[in-house]
Amino acid sequence: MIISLRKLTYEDLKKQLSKEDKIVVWACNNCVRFCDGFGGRDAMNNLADQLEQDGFNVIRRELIGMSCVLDLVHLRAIEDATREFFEQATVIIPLTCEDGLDNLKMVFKGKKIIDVPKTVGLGILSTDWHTLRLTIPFEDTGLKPTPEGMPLEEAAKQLGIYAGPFVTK
Amino acid sequence: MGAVTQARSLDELKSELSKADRIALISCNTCVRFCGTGGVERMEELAFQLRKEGYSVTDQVLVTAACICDYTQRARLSPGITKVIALTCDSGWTSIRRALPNVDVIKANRTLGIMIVSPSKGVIKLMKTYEAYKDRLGDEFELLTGKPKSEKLIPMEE
Repeated sequence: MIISLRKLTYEDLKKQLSKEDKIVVWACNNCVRFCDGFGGRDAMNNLADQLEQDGFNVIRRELIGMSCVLDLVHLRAIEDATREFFEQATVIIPLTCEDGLDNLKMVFKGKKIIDVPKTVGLGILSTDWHTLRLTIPFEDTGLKPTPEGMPLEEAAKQLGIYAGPFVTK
Repeated sequence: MGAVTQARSLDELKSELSKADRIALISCNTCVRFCGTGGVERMEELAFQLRKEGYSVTDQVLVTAACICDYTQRARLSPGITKVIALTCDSGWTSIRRALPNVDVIKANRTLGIMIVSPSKGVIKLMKTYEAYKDRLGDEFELLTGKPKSEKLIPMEE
């Protein structure tokens, strides 16, 4: 599975939003769900709830099976159930890997898509840990491959970024 | 979802095997299937090629996702296996090595990077690469076979 970390804190994220924005919180429900809960339904709802509490206008919470499948992303732009929300949206907050981010940029041209994820390599999952660990990092991270896998919090710490969801409850 | 992989040649694999080895093939059935480098058919094909050349392939095991350790830990192999060939990405290979620490695990594939997929266009596209494959960034491959596409069907975002 793909390992992704988070470039921003919640405070950093808020600085990129305005109260006039119409916001879609977009969460992938595949690899990122297991990246210490960076994506998935809970991460999406907790972030959207917090943004609403802080006075931001979240117009849609969109959970998608796999954001790396371009066709699934595109369907959101054309299907009756979702088209209107994405036409109205001014900002999309992706809780995805960089592939998901790239697909969103391709499909929703002209929308502000916040640069949230940092995809750092491939990893392994075990129910012993209940989360992914990084085993095959991209070389540009400077992290070393390890068969045992590096906990994502440790990887994030070494890179000066963050692991897991924006908001926990 | 995942990793873009390309198969190593049969000669490369043979250079890491001997005719005395008892060989097990373990294949992932997720990303590698989209790349044509794993799944039942690819595993059958490789087993056939190896047997034809006199190698002893005793086990073929398909796991749903090799990067999930729970699957690789539950893979039951015959006694006396000396080599495992992993039809997986590097991440799956790591998982198999953890599960079988006393057996030599050979990579059947090279892992180039990560992909986006478009079933309607029938392609996968390499979006971020490991250092050795930097010049392949943006390459597209036919979905399920992994054959390189000459014409690009998905434009890269500038």
